[in-house]
Formats: sequence, C-alpha cells, structure tokens
Amino acid sequence: MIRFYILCNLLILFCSVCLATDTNATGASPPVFDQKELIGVLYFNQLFGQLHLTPSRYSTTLTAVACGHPVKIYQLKKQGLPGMTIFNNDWNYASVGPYEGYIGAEFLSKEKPDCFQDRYPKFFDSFELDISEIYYWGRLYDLYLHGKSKVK
Amino acid sequence: MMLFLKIIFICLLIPMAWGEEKSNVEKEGEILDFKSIKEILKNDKLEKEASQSAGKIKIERKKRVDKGKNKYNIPFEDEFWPFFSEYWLVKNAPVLKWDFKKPDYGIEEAFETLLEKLGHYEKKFKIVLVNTTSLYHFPLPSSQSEYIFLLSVPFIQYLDLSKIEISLLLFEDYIREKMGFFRKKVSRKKVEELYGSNFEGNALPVSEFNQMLKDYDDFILNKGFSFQQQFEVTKEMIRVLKSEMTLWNIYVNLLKKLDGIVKTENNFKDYGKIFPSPEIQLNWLKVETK
Repeated sequence: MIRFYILCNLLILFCSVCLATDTNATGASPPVFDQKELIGVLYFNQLFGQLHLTPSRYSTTLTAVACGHPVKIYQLKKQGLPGMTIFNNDWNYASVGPYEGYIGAEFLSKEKPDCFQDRYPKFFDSFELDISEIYYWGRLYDLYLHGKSKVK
Repeated sequence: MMLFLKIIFICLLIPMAWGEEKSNVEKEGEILDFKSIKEILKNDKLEKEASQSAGKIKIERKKRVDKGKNKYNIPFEDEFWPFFSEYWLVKNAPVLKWDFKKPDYGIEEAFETLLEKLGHYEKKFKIVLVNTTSLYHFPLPSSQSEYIFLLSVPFIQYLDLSKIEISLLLFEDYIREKMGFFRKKVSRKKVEELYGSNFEGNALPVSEFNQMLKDYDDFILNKGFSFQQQFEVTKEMIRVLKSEMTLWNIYVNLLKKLDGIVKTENNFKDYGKIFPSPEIQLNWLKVETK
C-alpha cells in the first residue's frame, strides 16, 4: 500500500513533466470562465483514471486518479451566462490535489466505492505496477467504448 | 522539491500507521490486567464487568487481526479475470497500440442493438480499438456480467466493414468467450486453486501470472483457436442466425470478405491461423443450408 501511494505521487510528477514537455498536446484550449464554485465532493469509481486539461478523452493528462480518491467538483460561471457543471456531454470540472481539470462524470460516484485495490491490497501490490502502467491503466478506462444491451 | 516530496510521503504514512494501531479498548486492556486483580474484583462484585471488558478486548483484537489478514485476500474468479485481462492490455499497450485518437464509429450502439435483437439482454461490454494488424479482433476473459473485446481499426477499415458486420464479428467473439475456450487454455491450475483464498504467510506464485501473460500473447498473436473450437462457434452462429435471414446473409458475406483477405492480402494472411478458417466456416454454413 505504501508503495502504491509513493507511486501515485511519483505519477503526479510524471504527468507534470509530460504536460510540460508535451508539445503536441491534444484537445482545444480549456474553456475560459470568470469564477468557479465548489458544488460537492465525489469519489472516483474505476481502478485508475485521469484528470484532463480539456473535456476530451484525448486531451493532455494532468494527473492520475486511483479508485476511491475524493474529487472536488466545481460549477464554472461566466458573466451573463448560467453556471455550467457538465461539459462536452459527460465531463465535470474538478480538482485533484493541486491540479484542476476535467474528468469523466461517468467515473464519479456520491458514495465511496468498494475498490478492487482496497479489497485485495496485498494481491494488488504483488503486481508491482510502475508509473507508466498506472498511467496506461487510467488511459484504458478513458478509451474504452462502453455499451450495455437493454433490459428485456 | 525533495523537501516537498518528503512532506507528502510523511503525510501519507501517518494515517496508514494509525490504521494499524491497537484500538482504545485493547490499550485499556493492556493497562488493566484483570487476572492480577481477580480477588479485588471478586470482593467488589465487579467480576461481571471485568469479564465483559475482557470479552470486548478479545473481539477488538480479533477484528484487528482479521483486518490484517484480509489484506491478503485473493479475488474470486469473477473479479480475477477482468483485472488480469486489463493488466495484460496495460502491459502490452505499446504493442497493441490502443492509445490513439479515433473517430466515433458508433460500434457500441450497433452491437447493443444486435445483442437485443438476438435476445441477449443486459449484457455489458467494453471495446478496445487497436491501431495494429498484429491482431484482428479478440474476446478477452472478464466477469460474468461484462465482456471485453479487442478490435483492430486498420482491419475493419481495410475490409470496409459496415456497423452490422462489425457487430456480427463481435457477436462471434461473444460466443467464443461464452464457450470459454481461451480462458481454459490460459488458465493455470495453481492460480485456479487460489481464487477466493488468503495468502497470508505465503508468497503469491508470481511466476504463474507471468506465464499466463505469455500464454495470452501466444494464443492471441500466434496460435489462435482450433478447428474444433471454430466449428463449435460456427455451429452456434448457425443456430442463432438461422431464423434471421437478413443477418444470415450479412454473416455469409462477412465470411466471404474474410476468406478473400486471407487468400490475397499479406497483411492479413495470419487471420486464418487465429480463426481457422473462413473458407471452412463457409462450407459448414453451406452444409447447413442444403
């Protein structure tokens, strides 16, 4: 578990370096707003995920998020316009640690989730994921195409 | 910067250390040794309270020990496979090339519609689009309630497959996964024995997991399914599509397209090695329609 926390911190640094050096950063410039208002705290509910610079799965990654991590959700306001909480259909503006950006709303829940890495911490640790693997795992969840057939 | 990292590290360690601490009830129990003051308690008629306190301490201690032991729990099969398949995807990200920007093909909606049309309701799935021709399409083992499919974008683009053709290809993979051919092939006895158990005091057989990763590679990229397994899958496709003439015709055309590229395209010639073979599948279909 200690290893995992250290890795997460290193990953934040890793992502910061990527951000600083990524000259081909994808996604448009982040939307500009005058002010933001905290509307609540939600929990990340997938194994790993990512906070993005813009509300797009292909935009630059700011930091990685692990399951169960609290995420502060904001409403963004611009003078003369109603406040916005959902961007590009399914993205919330959020802060994770010192980073602020966009995160998929489908990956957030009100209740703290029952995470795989919390239920099986020693088993999970034995796979000794490195920084790039944690990054890719979060990326995988962003890039999955999800579907579900309806109830009869 | 180093000082900042150290502070973060210490802040993270403090709450974790607290999590391992003995509870207050246990600490009180350590200070008060009820056995040594048995006579005093007897005289003061406090025996009952003392026994209740001792009971509480015992429960707290058990809880703490259990909590420590539970950390070594191993997932059951239904949780193990999705985790392991994703682990393989992550390990092979540079080879599989799934981290790329792609247009929205609407594949998931088309596949949902097909599943519903064929009576497969409430089936969750995830599709990973890959930007390579080292694999074409493949179902990965997951939980009973969810399916993971791999699908090559250059492959579907080269064949110029329609959404319904892609959905039929995915449906074939859905049947393959339900039949569990791949899962049985890569599963290892030592790992199966661990499902739902606890490994406190023992080492996890990491080499077995590593071997499983290699077996995933070998099956998906080289060996593929056997003729017998393909026959079972095709038989099931025939059974399902027999009463759906439109889908049947699309499926026949799809197999013809696949047969064509196996015979003519160097980039896709190994398709018949992984899924043997579209030509023989077409023959099985012909036998059925005679």
